[in-house]
Amino acid sequence: MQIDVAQTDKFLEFIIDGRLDATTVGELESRALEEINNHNLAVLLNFAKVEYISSAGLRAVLKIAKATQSKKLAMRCFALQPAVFEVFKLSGFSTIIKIFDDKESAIASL
Amino acid sequence: MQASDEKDFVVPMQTVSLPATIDVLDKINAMLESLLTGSLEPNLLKTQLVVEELLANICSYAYDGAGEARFACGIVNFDGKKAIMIELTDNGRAYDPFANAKEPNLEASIEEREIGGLGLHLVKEIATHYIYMRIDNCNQTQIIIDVKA
Repeated sequence: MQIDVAQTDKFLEFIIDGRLDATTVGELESRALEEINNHNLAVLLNFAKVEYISSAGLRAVLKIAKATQSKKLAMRCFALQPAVFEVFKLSGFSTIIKIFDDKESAIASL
Repeated sequence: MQASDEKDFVVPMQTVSLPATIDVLDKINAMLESLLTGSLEPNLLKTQLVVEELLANICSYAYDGAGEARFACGIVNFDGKKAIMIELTDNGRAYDPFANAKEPNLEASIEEREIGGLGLHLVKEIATHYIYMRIDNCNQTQIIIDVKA
């Protein structure tokens, strides 16, 4: 898995490339929590290149959501593939996490 | 279902014994990839999800130190329909994952939502049937996933 971070004056975008499973998720979690800690910017999670997520991946997403919320920062997920969206839905995450079709609509919501 | 039809889609269970660590996930995923090809491919990701959650459970609860997990998968005739069968076995301490799983509060807000507890919820949601057995001092979980037509 690879994670790239793009930064603007409004937000940090985490571009996740690969499977979010128990063996890879630590990388996203530590990187994202560190960046959130160091900046006061909204957080975007770009899921376009994520084909798979397990409960371990959801745990990381929830930790990121809690970290941003405790700093009163916005967090948005976008471009979820159908299989990934299904896991969000089954977990009840689709009602507590703000999900958008694409980056433009995610940014427009900030 | 006639025996001759059954022969067309049944794939005998393939079994592998692996260390009970989450690092073996890649090996198991590769087995599932070679089993679920062609018309079965749309079932791959949800099957891998079920297996990861059950394996993670064994890694967390079955052993104090090192241990072993046996994984098996195949295509079976279940009630006359094609289905994916998954079996995970360990010889660790007795543990029924379904009896012990606390149902997550799906309505909770971000602050209230507890970290974790989702894995077995996902298994129950995705599996058509799931069963836990304690046999010969082993924990065995069998999962049936109906093949999406």
